Amino acid sequence: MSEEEKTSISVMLVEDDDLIRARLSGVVEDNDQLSLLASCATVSSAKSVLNQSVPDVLLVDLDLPDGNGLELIQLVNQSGHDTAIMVISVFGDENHILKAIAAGASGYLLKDDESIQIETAIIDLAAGGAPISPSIARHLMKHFRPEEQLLEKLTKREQQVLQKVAKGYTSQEIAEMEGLSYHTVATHVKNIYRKLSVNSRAEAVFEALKMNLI
Amino acid sequence: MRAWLAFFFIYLIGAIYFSYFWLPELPEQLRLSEAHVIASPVTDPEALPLLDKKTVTLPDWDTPGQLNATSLWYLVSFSTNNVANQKHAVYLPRLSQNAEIYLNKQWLGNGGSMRQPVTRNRNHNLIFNFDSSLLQQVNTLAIHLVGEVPQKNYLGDVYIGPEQLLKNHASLNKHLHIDLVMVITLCLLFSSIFISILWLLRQSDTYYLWYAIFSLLWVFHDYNHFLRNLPIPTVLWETLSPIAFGYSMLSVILFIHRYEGRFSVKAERSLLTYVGTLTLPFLWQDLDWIMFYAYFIWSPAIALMGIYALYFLYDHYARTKQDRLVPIFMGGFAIIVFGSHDLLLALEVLPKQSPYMIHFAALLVVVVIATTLITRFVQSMNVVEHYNRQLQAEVHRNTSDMEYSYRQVQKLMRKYTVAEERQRIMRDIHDGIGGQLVAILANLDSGKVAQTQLKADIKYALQDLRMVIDSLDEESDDLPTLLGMLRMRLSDQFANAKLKLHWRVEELPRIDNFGPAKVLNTMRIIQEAITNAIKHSDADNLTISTELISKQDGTQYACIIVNDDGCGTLPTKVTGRGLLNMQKRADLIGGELFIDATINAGVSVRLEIPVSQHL
Repeated sequence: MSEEEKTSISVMLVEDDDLIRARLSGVVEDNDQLSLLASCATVSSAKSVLNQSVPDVLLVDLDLPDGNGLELIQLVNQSGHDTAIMVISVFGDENHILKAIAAGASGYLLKDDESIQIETAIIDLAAGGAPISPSIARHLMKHFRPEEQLLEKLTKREQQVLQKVAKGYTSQEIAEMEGLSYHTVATHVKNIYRKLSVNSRAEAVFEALKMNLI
Repeated sequence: MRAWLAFFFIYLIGAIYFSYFWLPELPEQLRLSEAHVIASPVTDPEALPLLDKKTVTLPDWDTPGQLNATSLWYLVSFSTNNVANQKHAVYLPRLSQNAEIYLNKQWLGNGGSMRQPVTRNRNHNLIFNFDSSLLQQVNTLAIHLVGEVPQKNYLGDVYIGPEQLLKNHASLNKHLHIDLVMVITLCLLFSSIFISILWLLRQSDTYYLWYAIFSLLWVFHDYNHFLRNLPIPTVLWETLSPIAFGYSMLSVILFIHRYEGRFSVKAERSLLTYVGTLTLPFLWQDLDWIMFYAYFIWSPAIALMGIYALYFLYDHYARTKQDRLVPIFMGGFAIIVFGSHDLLLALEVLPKQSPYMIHFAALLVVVVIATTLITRFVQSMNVVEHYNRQLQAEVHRNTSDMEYSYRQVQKLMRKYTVAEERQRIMRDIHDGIGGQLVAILANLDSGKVAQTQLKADIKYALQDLRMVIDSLDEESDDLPTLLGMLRMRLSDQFANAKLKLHWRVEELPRIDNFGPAKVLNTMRIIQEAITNAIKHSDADNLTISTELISKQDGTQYACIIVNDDGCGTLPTKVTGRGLLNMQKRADLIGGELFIDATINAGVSVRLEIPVSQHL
């Protein structure tokens, strides 16, 4: 039992909607592989938890009563811990998701996803997976256009992966087509996310420099 | 007008004063007043036949004409006492053509060639220096006067005295009769060149050309005044000089006509015929005839033309009151006044010793024309600047107007677009999630609905809402991505279906003007096709593929094909409302939909969308 405790994935939940929070907490608690580290409804309470301990997976809603979930994503991401971050979203629209990825998230959940889907997503994410939608892939292709002056550029392989995702192919299909393992495809996606995050921070610095904030 | 009149009057007085009274009188005792004249062609005073002597008083204006002689000798005796030891000179202020001087049989000099062609000193004075040692108590001065036309020959005053005194007078005399005319002629020449250049730059303003011709011809005519040795035979020169003057007057009339702008072409033609006809008698190249014709017929005829010009100007001024005509009128009037003076002189109505004055008219004309043209130029510049400013203001105003209109149009368009988009979203919500929620409510009310069914219905409604949101994504008009998103949204259905999905989607070009509405319609068509296949085909495999085709007319079509290997029958629902809806949506996106159902071979739904679309 104690061994299981150690290997279980610690999950922290930040969600202001009581019903959803209760449901998600339930899903995490009911799964043996997962353990609920904390469940908060506000940014401030989440911060005080994060000051003491860091989860393996952070599930965070973006619209919180006392601030934006992006703040927490950045905080965790910059702390240097290897926390996988997932955004909880109603629509999973790329507008929200891209911002979260740029801040350091590497996946998202839909609030109405089935319990089993939520469990799988959390475990996959903790294992290094990175979900991606065709629309996000298309947006990322635009961001990493060759003519853009970027700090981090995509490798050929990463570009191929993005192109395939943008056309609706699943990670498994891409792995088969490209002769890669599913895990490798996920790593590529994760790297792409990391590069976007780096570029976004560089852009932010650049913007700040421009506005004489630094 | 008055200023011009006053200016003209002062100018006239000044010109007369200069011509007649400006030169100082020389001391009377230096003048030789009596002479013996002998008409003889001899060239040496020693050979003179002293028989036929005639005594005349000097200046002698008429004897050469009376004797009809082209070569005359004037012998003047004078005595001198106590002559200071200084340079002396013989000074002839005016003479008809040329002279040679001998003092006490000693040759003092001549004014150029004494033989044909004889040098013309008409307006030049002659002065000959000699040493006082040559003088005796009683002296004889022999003056050999030559001239080609006897009637025109004369010997003016003869002075003998200290060189310095006479030289001063001679130089003033030269300034008045030669230098002044040369300067005026140069002015005319320069104005002619300058105006010619102006004409070359503005060839539509032909009055520049006629002024240039007028002044150039006058320049040629003016050479008659001071040219001493003719480069061409005398007859030809005596022909060309008056012709040049006549045609310069014709040019000035053509100038006036064009400068004024309104003139009778008929009158101008008559003038050309008039001058052309009058030129013909010059063809008889006899010097006597030419001299007679030029002075007695040609010049008065040309003067008549001048009067026409003055009448023309006066008439137009009286009618239009254009002040710009006044100076031109003054110039013309000056030509008439000074020209008449010279004509009377040539016709010997005025005494032969009177000076020629036509060059004063030329000077006035140059001043008048220069002033006029410069004024005109300045006015044009002012007008251009004025219009330029006006144009700039206009452009500025129009630009602001256009900017304002553009902003208004943009505002309206934005308003229209927003309104249209709002309506579309309303319609989508009404047709989609609105209807679905109402149905769920009704089901709930009936109390017969199972929870799983309820959950499925709500899931479906959420899915629909997500599709609407997906269609709003700016990247959603990319067809493969649109299909990919659809696949992701339908992932639950695919996961629960027994058929196997084969994804064969490749890159397609972006469709022109493919907005959210068309994106959503495309999604709905494909969704319907997929749902039908999952629910009704009983197929093992479902293939979703894309291709790009070019039709015969060259238009490219992006095609989406949903193909199953099922029973090949279309559910009655599809043949009815569902099919109709799909067709309607295909029409809305400007595409074509082909549904091909073959029993036991499956159903193929093919949507073709033209890549180039117009709004």
